[in-house]
Amino acid sequence: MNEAGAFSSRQALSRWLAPAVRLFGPQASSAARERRDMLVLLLVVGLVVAPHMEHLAWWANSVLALLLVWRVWLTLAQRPLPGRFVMLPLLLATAGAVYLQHRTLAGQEAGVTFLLMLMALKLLEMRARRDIFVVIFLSFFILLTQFLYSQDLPVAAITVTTVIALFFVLVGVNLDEVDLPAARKLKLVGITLAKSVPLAAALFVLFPRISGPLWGMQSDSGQSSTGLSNSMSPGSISRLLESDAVAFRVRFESRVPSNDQLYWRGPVFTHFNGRTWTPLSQRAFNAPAVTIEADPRSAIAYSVTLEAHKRDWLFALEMPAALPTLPQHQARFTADLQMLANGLITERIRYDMRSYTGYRMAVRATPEDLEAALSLPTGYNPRTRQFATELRARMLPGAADRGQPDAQLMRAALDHLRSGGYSYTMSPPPLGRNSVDEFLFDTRLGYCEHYASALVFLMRALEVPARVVTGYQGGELNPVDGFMTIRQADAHAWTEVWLVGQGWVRVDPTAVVAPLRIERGAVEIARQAGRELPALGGDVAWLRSLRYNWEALQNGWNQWVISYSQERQRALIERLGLAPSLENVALALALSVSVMLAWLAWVSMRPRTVRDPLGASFQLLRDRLEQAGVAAAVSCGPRELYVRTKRALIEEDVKKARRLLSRYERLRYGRASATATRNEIRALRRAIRAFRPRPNPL
Amino acid sequence: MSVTAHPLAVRLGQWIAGGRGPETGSVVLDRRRVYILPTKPGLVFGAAMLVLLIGSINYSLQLGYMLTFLVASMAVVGMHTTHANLAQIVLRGVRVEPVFAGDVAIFQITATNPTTVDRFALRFAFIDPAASTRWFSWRSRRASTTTAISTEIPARGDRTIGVPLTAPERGRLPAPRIVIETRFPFGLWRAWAYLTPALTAMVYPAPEIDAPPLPISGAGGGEGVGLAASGDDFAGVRPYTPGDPQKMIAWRLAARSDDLSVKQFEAQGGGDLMLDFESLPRHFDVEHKLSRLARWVLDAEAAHARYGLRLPSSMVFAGSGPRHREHCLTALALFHG
Repeated sequence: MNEAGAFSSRQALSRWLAPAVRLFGPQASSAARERRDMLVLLLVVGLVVAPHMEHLAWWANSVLALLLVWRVWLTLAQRPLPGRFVMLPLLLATAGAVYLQHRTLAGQEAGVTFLLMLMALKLLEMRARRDIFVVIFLSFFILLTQFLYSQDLPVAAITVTTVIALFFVLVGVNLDEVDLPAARKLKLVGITLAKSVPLAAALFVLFPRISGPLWGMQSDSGQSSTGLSNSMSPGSISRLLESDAVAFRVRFESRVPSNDQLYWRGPVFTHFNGRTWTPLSQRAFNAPAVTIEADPRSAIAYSVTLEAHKRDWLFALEMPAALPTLPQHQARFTADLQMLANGLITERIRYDMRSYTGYRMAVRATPEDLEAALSLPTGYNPRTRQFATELRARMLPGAADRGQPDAQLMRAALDHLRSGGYSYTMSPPPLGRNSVDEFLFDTRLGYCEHYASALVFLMRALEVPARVVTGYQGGELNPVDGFMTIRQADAHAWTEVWLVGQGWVRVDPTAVVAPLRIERGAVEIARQAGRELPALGGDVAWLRSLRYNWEALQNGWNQWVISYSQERQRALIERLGLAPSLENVALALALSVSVMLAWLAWVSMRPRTVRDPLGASFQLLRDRLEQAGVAAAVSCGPRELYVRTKRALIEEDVKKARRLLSRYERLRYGRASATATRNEIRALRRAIRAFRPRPNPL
Repeated sequence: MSVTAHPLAVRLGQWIAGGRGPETGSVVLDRRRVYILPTKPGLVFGAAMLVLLIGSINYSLQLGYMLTFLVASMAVVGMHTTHANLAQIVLRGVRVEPVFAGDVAIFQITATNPTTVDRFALRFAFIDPAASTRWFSWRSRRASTTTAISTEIPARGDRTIGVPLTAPERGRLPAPRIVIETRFPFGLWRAWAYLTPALTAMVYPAPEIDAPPLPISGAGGGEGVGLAASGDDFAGVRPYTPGDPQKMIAWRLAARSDDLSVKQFEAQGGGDLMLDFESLPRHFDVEHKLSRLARWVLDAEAAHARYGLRLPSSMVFAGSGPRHREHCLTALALFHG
């Protein structure tokens, strides 16, 4: 076909279609960009998957890693993606494996595993652009499931990073032929994030919270990680002794008690079967079942922020006088004054407490009340029983008439521990059947459990009522925010001995053997033993201060974000002067969201044109000339415009236009432009307004 | 790549902007002209946010609330970004070159960005006039559009975009409605605007393929009537081509039009070629004849011959050059037989 050269509509077409072809066609540059975008997406998916790796089964981790590595290789090697006959068996196999592992696909852990697998498989069968959206939306779900395991500050930081990365990928997907440098895309996402923060914050604070789940949920994840347990066979604490995990945090309203008063009461063990200490049957009461005579001057008010430990224990400074109000549960006392909730603590809770460090407990206990605290299993620890008999014989002849023989017996027993060559260690040798005998007379090495267990056994052998109390001892005051942190490493066991006229008296045999443990805390002991708790920074001052700041930040996060609840929301509404009702929360939400949306609209819609009165004058002149028939295209500069006026206007107006254009040119580009006064620009604008060019009639 | 528009949205847009008809000059895409709705991924995104919220409520995940609200707020900000990516653009129909029937006409539109913000991924496409205009149907949920052309426009810059449209038949082809859309930056929202530029493409008859050679007078069967630039009788004017003597320019005409014309005088001459509609075989239909004539016009021009055109209702005197060829082809394009 012999078309004339100037006539090349097909060429023109291909020129104009080039961008579209480049985007979807087989051209190299586009393929390279697609490959690069795919690798970025895979990287982001890695970011989404990584936090889950620690709580997935090993095979799930391996499969995930294999799928992702396979996908990266396919991208780099530019191989085609596997077909349906590979993907379908893969999908069935992973679903089967998840089912075999968890016996369900819907539970929390099974669901998370399956969701991760689905995303990895989706990456292997991406056919269209919408598949990228699928992967990104799946990523949001997987991000959410992270929070079932932890909602700490680092998790939040990772989440925000991942959200930025996901939106970064979205920008890349929605750019057509002109790609942007990564920095520009990041900036765009960053600006979007910054603009969205006020709206998101308003929604977060004011979206009505309900207490309790919408439907039952399986909490099949996360084992209890407390330093305590509901039974004690000497040796069971050692494994967690060195955990720096936070048990709870305390904020004292008034004074901070001294370290030797910081006994946080937990499970109380009265029953002993020769090997293991267990609590009495847990009947709970709404008020202390025993009388407590408290010294009002020793009152201490404080609030406890208890980490989720998946037990029903509540902790309080000895001795709590009244039960706290819990957000979701009811608090109760056991007969031996342990505080319990009527359900497991599965999320961080906060409660206000009042305790008395000066108290007398159960002074008028009857022999029936104390019977359980005297019973000993037969056939265990004969040497200790023998020792008790000797001790009693040695003490009592002279002590009988002086009264309070029990107190003397107790002092004698403590004297024995102090002077008997006992020492404190966190890795004691294992004990056999007669654990108390072996500890008291052979190994003489142990920690709080061993001492508490031995003392209580000895006291009972001496016919003095006694029991083991476990809980936490000590705590670290953060000077930055004034919160005291009690860690799992602070787990402790001590004893209570019932003395006539004094009731249950706290006796801590560990304090006798290792005073440092009580004075300076478990962390210090660990340090002395050369076993630094890794994250705590030890003696290095700046590390310590860094840690204090970090912990204060974390605690603030927990207090204000993670523990945000219906109560806090209502309290906030109340502070705004509104009645704390759902209607008012909804009203405040609607109002503030409207304000934020209006602000966003205003920010986005305000004109982004530079204020340029000179340019506006030029535009006006151009419009006037155009009305008079001059072909005044946007791209015309003043000189070009003048040339175009020449034949289009009558001669007089050509001259006028020339004068105006040269004035504009001088003001805009001339040397005077820096000093061009506002008046000159204003005068030019007036002149242009008055100018009515007339077309050349010829 | 095809820009999609929901038929209902198209209808609504026609109703809102429809009164305007073809628009000349600069058209500013102000707030009233830019529409915005979620895309299909945007709707799925919204559903996903709802599920995230329910999950956060059920498991009482405060960080979940935070994630949900942050991501949803980013999508809301994205809506404004998408809208602002299209708003305030100034559009102006520039021109469209003539094409042959069956070829693609490129309607050139200048898009100016007067703001200080770069614009990305703006797609231009015609709403396909051939597609069904029923505004509700189960089968095709979308009014189809022609191939979209994507462009970016830097801050205070402009771009000329050629929007392609296949010219089905000869004659005038007025530009149908153009839809300008963008999904930048996140693809969750689609902002769009309509423009019907006042541009009309001249569509020449498609040149016949495998047509017989030119009917050279004397040699072939064609009967040529020559025309010359000088002679005795004034015969009309033809467009000016560089090289024409100045004394032949029709100045009085030039004053009235943009183009220069040259006076023509009739004379008998051997070299001129008259392409005659009537001389073509009678059994050809009109379009076939026009198609053959179009082919011969192109061939004659390629052979640097002087040629003219005789149609039943009009006549183009002999001449040569690109402008002359366009005159001839236009006469063929607009022929009413």
